[in-house]
Amino acid sequence: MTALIADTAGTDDAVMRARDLTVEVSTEHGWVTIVDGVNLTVRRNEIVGLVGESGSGKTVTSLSVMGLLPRNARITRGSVEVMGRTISTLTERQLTEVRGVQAAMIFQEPRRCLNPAFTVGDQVAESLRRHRGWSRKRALQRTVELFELVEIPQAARRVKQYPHEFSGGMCQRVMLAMALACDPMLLIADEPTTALDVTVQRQVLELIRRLQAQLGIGVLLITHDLGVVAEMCDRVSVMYAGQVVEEADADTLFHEPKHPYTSGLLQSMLEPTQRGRPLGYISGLVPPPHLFPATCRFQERCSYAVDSACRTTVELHQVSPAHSSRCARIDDLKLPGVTD
Amino acid sequence: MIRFIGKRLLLAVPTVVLVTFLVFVLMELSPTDPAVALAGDNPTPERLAELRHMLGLDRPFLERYFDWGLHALQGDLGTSPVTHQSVISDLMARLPITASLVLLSMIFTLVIGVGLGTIAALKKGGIVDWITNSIANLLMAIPPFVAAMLLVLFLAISNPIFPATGYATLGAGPGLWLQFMTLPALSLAIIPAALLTRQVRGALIDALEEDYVRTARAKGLRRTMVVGKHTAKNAAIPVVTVLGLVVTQMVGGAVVVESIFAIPGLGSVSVDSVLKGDLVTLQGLVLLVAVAVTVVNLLVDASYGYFNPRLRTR
Ligand SMILES: Nc1ncnc2c1ncn2[C@@H]1O[C@H](COP(=O)(O)OP(=O)(O)OP(=O)(O)O)[C@@H](O)[C@H]1O
Ligand SMILES: [Mg+2]
Repeated sequence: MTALIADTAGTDDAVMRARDLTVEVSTEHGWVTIVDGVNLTVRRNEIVGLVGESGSGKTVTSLSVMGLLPRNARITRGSVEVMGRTISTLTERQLTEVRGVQAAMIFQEPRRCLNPAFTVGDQVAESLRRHRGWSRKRALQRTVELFELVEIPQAARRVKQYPHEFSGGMCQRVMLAMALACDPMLLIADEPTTALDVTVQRQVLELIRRLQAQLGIGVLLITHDLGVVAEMCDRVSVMYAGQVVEEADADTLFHEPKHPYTSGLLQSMLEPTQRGRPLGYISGLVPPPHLFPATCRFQERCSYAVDSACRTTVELHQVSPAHSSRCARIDDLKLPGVTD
Repeated sequence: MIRFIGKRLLLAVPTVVLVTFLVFVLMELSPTDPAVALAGDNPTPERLAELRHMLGLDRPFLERYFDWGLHALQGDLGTSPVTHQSVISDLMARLPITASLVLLSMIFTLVIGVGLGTIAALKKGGIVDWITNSIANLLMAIPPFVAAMLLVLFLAISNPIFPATGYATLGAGPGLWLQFMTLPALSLAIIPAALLTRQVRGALIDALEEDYVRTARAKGLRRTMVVGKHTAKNAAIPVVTVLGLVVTQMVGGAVVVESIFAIPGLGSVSVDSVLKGDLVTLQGLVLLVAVAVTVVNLLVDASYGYFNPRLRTR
């Protein structure tokens, strides 16, 4: 995996790139920063994991990529590019030509993401009709092929059915077929299996990985399950309180974490017995966005925090060319990771 | 679907029977004696007895009801003792007039209600939303007879754009028909349109918050498609429910509006027959309205299956 990073580092086959992405929302506390200076790149042929606890800003980050931020949110600094086009400079109409064509997205709770009033086939074909200008018949034929691609049995019959006739896992396959209909180079999957049964989770994840390899696309996989990351991802960005706190290739991140938060997440994953608290090894909760401290944001919950270094803003430090961490004690800490 | 409709039709039969029976009972209890009403001034007791016999009022109540029901089943609603015409042919001649009034009213209701409701929903929380909401609240307080008078005042008398009263059949040409029908239909449409505006707004706001709307946007659909297709079909269910209620209410409103505009429809018949004690016509009218309301409800129910596929498989 390290080799892959080195190979692609020079050539620019990035399908998505966020630079210093900063998003604010208007709340009763005024404009509040919920995503702060996020740098994130997804290239062709790789799966990048975005992990972090609930409320860390993963969904907001991914919605900015699609130009789908809610009405009360705005990008105040930095930019997102998809296939070289800067999302924030596009009009709503231009955005509709990027969505589904260059970047596609699947979500949590697949059943709720499908419209109960239309057949699943119609909803997939719709994308082809919209972007390719195909006739209903031709689009439906292609939909059957797409259903076969995502391994929905009896595709020809299933396209005519409604979402309520599908299980959660099958709905997520339909969502995948819809997302991949117009051959996008970027697929964003926001906790695609969180709402599914454990066995179904595996199948859907394996399908995503197979399709990613087969189609050579880049995938941004959002999850809070490090087990999923271990199985799926080439590179990982860990988010905490709106910031990326650590970024590395998956192997390095698991074996040599350089941020106490990552290390804590790993320990919690390894020792489920510790699960009396929300996250075994890390006490406390993510503060709400309007209370993000101006110091190191993790400092309050960090067992390694020292007054001198951690009471200031902490930048991302490079550990090695493909590994960086937002920890002030990066040089003097030896953090536990996964040992195997 | 056919089974569904068949089942609903069967269920509707007792309702219609019950309604007609209740009306029969009410008339029996009513203080006005149709024989007295028919007989004119100072009738002799013999004359009254003769009239009672002619009207069948001397027979037992249940016998009369069953007799009437049996004939009604064969499409015979009797002869009006006042006009001496067959009730069914009189009602059938006037039905298209009222139907066309209600139809035009429905079109106005739909255009205004769906239009304003959609705009308000899309601009939720904004000034446009506030204005539409205020207008809807205001219109809700204007009963049809007031609306009719205001409309006549401004659009027929001050600015003679439309005739103040009268009626032309559709056969006389759609232009002329519209000329006469616009004001009556509008007066009938005002409250329903206000109701529908609110309903459409609420249903659309709910639908717009659903996850599938985000999916539709994520696949690059334009806003018109997202709203016009994905939310519209889901928002339609509560809207159609209100429409069904509104049609039924319009039948009542038609009585008032037809009197004001001198339109010879079913509304006028009902007023006439009440005033003249023509129970035979009134009874036929009740049956007709009961059937019409049943049919509308049936259509509403049937449309649920179209809008919500989950109901079909059950
Ligand atoms: N439209 C909004 N208005 C106000 N606050 C918002 C809005 N959207 C998100 N937030 C806040 O921004 C923060 C980040 O939210 P986000 O949904 O990105 O988290 P997440 O990492 O995806 O969490 P989860 O794992 O629960 O999905 C949260 O604190 C959330 O409350
Ligand atoms: Mg999320």
